[in-house]
Amino acid sequence: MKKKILVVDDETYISLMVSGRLKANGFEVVTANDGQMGYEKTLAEKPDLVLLDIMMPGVDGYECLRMIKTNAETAAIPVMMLSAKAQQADLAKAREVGASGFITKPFKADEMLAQIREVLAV
Amino acid sequence: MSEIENQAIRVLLIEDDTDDAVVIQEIIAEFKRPKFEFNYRKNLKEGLEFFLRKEVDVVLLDLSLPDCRGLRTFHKIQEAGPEVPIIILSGFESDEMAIQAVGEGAQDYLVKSTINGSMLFRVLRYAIERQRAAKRIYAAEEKYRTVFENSAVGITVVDGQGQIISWNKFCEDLLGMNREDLYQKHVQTLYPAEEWQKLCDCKIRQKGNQEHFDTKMFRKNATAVDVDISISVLKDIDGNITGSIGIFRDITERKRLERMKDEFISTVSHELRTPMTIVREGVSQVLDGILGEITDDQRQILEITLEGIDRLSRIINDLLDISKLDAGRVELKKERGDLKEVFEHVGASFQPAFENKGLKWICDFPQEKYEYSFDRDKIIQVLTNLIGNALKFTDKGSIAVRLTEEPDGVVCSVEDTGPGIASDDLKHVFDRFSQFGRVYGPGEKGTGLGLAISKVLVEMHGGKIWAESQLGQGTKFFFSLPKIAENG
Ligand SMILES: Nc1ncnc2c1ncn2[C@@H]1O[C@H](COP(=O)(O)OP(=O)(O)O)[C@@H](O)[C@H]1O
Ligand SMILES: [Mg+2]
Repeated sequence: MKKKILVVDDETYISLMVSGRLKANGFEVVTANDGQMGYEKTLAEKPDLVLLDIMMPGVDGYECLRMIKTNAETAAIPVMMLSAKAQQADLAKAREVGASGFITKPFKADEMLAQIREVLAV
Repeated sequence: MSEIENQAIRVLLIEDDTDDAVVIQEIIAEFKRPKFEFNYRKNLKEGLEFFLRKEVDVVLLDLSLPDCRGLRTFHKIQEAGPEVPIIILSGFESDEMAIQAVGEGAQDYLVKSTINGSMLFRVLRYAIERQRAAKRIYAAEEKYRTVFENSAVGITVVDGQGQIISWNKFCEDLLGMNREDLYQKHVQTLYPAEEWQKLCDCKIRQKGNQEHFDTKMFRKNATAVDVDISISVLKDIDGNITGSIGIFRDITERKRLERMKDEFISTVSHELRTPMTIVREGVSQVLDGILGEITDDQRQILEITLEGIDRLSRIINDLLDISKLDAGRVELKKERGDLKEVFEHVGASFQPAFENKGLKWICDFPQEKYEYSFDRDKIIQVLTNLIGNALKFTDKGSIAVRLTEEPDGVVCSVEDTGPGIASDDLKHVFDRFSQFGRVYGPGEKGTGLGLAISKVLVEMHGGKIWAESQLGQGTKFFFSLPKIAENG
């Protein structure tokens, strides 16, 4: 069965690019364009993995991550940050809130896919 | 001495023993060039009156007078005219007191029974000359004192034990402190603990020269102010350290601008990353054939495009790094660790690349372990850059890494058999954006920031970084890390 990935990013073109890459590699993809919607779709879709941007208007990535990790229904779903923020402090903070990985933008597709497969164990 | 030659020297003798006075008067009367004008008073009261009324060039003073005895006699005259030289006349038995008077500023002393013409002549002339020399020194010192007091920089002078012994007005203003806060306080009290540690790590006193830093100093209200300070070690004639002078300026405004610049660069680089991600991923999807077959020509162009984008993102990362370092937003997370392990870890990540280019990788770590205190990520960054450079510029031969323990720390080196660096360029390798002998053709193109960043990172550890190279002879980069301080 295809694994389902939720891509949360406020930049439509980024979502488009990431989705295209994931679909080409055999994943099913759903998208959300802010943190609130990201949380709601995580609840509704129960994806196998969430790829989450950090800087978004309204509910940002950290907040969305916290919401996912504090709800028992979604807490077990792995979340990987996909962000232009790439400082040590950002990585540390994401890990603290419960992220399973960190991919920095601009990413290299091979590396991104390798990380995703590792987390999904496929 | 020419001044003295022309005019008579006015001597005042204060002495109650008339016989002694006559002897001295007769001796002085013999002096021809220069001439001496002799004046004589029998007790302190009259002596002082004369002294205050007339100009006197030198005083010959007996310490035991009818109306005053001992050192007090000397003090009275000295207070009345501190600039006039005083020569003490003493008997054998009061020798010790005369020496004490010399310690307190008398020019010389004479034992009365031994006085003869040439001796008295010499003592009088020298007393006057020395006093004049002292005046000249005083005038010169006064000039420096004026510079010291009126400088628009804070200045503190510290003794061999580290206690503050003098400072200028600007120092008081800058730190909001006064005499009670400064006098004989240890300089350490002026610095926040971690800043003091940084200064200690630099071992200025051991090195014995001048050092320049950005640091923070406490103000009276316990807030810290950003300063840049240059510290010079003071030595006596034998080369022993007797103290140090610190000259510092308020750099709050510069720091504020650096922070603004840093925020600006952070924002810009985040903003740039999003469109770069779109371009990179778009190009690489076409390149990977996700969107259909492409021709070899198209592939070639797209590969070059990707390289350009990757280079742009390296520049952005390096710019962000250096800007954060400038703004002082990078803090070291130092921990004890084994440098050998770090070298091997970084070396391993380069293995495929070495094999690709057919380069030999040599490790020279004579010891089992190299325990030092450092920020692992930062040292990895430095090493990655040095080894990355060696790899980038070397086409055949080897890359060797070494660890050498020295009395005050360890020297790490990365040595290659590449093209070397011309001596004119070598002076600038650590400058920002300096790139010489660019690599042509495919391969990772640099930013010219790697070594500038490495330098700051090494210096934050209290170490130094340097390079040795000659065109055609390969290149050696070195950096040192200080020993773990005894106090932890
Ligand atoms: N091992 C080396 N051999 C020859 N030249 C070197 C070596 N390392 C550094 N350089 C020179 O110093 C320059 C600056 O290096 P660096 O600051 O790391 O920037 P970059 O590697 O991005 O060019 C390089 O561009 C190169 O000209
Ligand atoms: Mg480099």
